[in-house]
Amino acid sequence: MISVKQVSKSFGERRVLNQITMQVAPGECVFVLGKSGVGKSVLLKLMVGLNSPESGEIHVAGLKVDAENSQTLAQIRKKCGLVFQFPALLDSVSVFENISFGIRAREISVNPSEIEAKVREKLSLVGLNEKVLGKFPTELSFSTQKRVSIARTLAVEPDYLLFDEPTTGMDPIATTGLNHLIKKLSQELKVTTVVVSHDIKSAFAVGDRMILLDQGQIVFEGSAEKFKTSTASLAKQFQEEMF
Amino acid sequence: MEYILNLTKTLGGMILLAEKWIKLTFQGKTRWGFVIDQIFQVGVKSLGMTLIAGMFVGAIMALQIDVQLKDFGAESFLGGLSTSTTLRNVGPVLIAFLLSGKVGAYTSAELGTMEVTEQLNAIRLLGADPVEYIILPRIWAVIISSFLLLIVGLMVTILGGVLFSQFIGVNALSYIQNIPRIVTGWSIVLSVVKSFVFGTLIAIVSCYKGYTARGGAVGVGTAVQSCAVTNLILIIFTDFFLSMISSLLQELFQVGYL
Ligand SMILES: Nc1ncnc2c1ncn2[C@@H]1O[C@H](COP(=O)(O)OP(=O)(O)OP(=O)(O)O)[C@@H](O)[C@H]1O
Ligand SMILES: [Mg+2]
Repeated sequence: MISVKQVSKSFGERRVLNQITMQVAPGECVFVLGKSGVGKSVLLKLMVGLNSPESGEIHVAGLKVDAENSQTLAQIRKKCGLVFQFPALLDSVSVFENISFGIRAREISVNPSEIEAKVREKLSLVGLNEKVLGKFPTELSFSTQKRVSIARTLAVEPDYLLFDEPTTGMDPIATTGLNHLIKKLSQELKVTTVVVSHDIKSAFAVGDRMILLDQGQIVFEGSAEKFKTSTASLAKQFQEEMF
Repeated sequence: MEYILNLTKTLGGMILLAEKWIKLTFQGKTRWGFVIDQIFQVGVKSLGMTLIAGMFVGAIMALQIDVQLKDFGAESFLGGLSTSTTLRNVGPVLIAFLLSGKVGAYTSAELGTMEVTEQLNAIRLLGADPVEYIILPRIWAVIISSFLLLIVGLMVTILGGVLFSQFIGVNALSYIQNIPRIVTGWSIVLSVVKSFVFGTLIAIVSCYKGYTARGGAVGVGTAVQSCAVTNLILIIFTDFFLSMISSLLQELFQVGYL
């Protein structure tokens, strides 16, 4: 369970998020939509304590996210995986090292052959060929890097998965594959998922629920069906994109 | 005023980083394999530059001091005087400047880029401490490579002085023979101490500046720039400080000359 209670966040004078309250139930898959710069990435980072809210509280798995409390924060992060908007791969080490990084750091496994098996499994989940394992991130295209970064996050098998625009820049086939994967993870493994996306089709296909942000606030919250008939003006604009 | 405030903040942050560096080292968290890797990455690549620069620093000192000694007809002291000045002051400072430009800029730019591209955040989320995983080995690599480069550079300055003395008509042999008459063990200890301290400064400043970079490419640019300035200021300042302490100690224990 992720629970965001009346969270506000400003940068300088500008209030990016204003009194946001939302919840994500265990195993639920929620899509967060909104225009560029509305604060979607900031919201995800708040959930794992990479940013601190100026007011309000966030709880993940019953624990309060507090950047000052490093012990609890470590506990929370151990349950979470965040796919950053930009791949954020460590460019001084190979793709294999990148994907196995979290497995080692979280001491999920110390057995080299077990680690390798996990890495190969996650790589195939994101539809990549094993040839990339020995390459360095800078040798890969953006969307391949993005897929590696998704594999890296999946490798730690988190209970909470946060995706920041996972399919942006990907070809349609990869997009569909990833959407299936997200759906499968949330339905079969009961992973609690938040997906930030501009891709309204994916949101309809995968999301249990949608949240639409505008000017720091939630202007729509509900199922795909409800979204289609929503009268909120931004929701209407998004609907036009869809049909 | 803002400048002083920033400087205080930087110093405070650097002290905290240094504290963490020492603590983690004592906990045996350093990945020495990676340190050696980094030494090759940053250190070995700076060797050529250090050799050339060291050579010329030695030559410049010989030239300059020769001009002054000529007035007193004391050219026979050239070897000792120029070597002593180079070892104690000019050599370590100039070579440290060069290294702060090369090793320091490289390190701060690399770490800064890692920060603004969220690589450090990714490490945090995956369950590791970026200070332990990324910074600690780099601090050691920069300290060790700067120290070794400074020592090599200083040895080359002596060579530069010897070679150059030939051009200005001072016999190389008498130049060399004059060195131990003036250069004492104290000069050597002082230059080694300075090399170590400057290496440590460059390491901490560069890592700190890179680590605290914020805000995209511009942020990295600012971090590298501020790293260069901070390094220069701190090197000059500590050089003055160490030289003072050295003179005081010398007077106290009556060792060495000059
Ligand atoms: N560290 C920061 N310092 C200053 N301002 C920031 C910082 N992080 C985000 N912002 C600002 O907060 C606002 C929201 O940023 P955010 O990255 O969350 O947008 P977004 O909704 O993810 O947009 P996009 O769809 O383009 O990714 C932006 O105006 C951005 O400039
Ligand atoms: Mg974003």
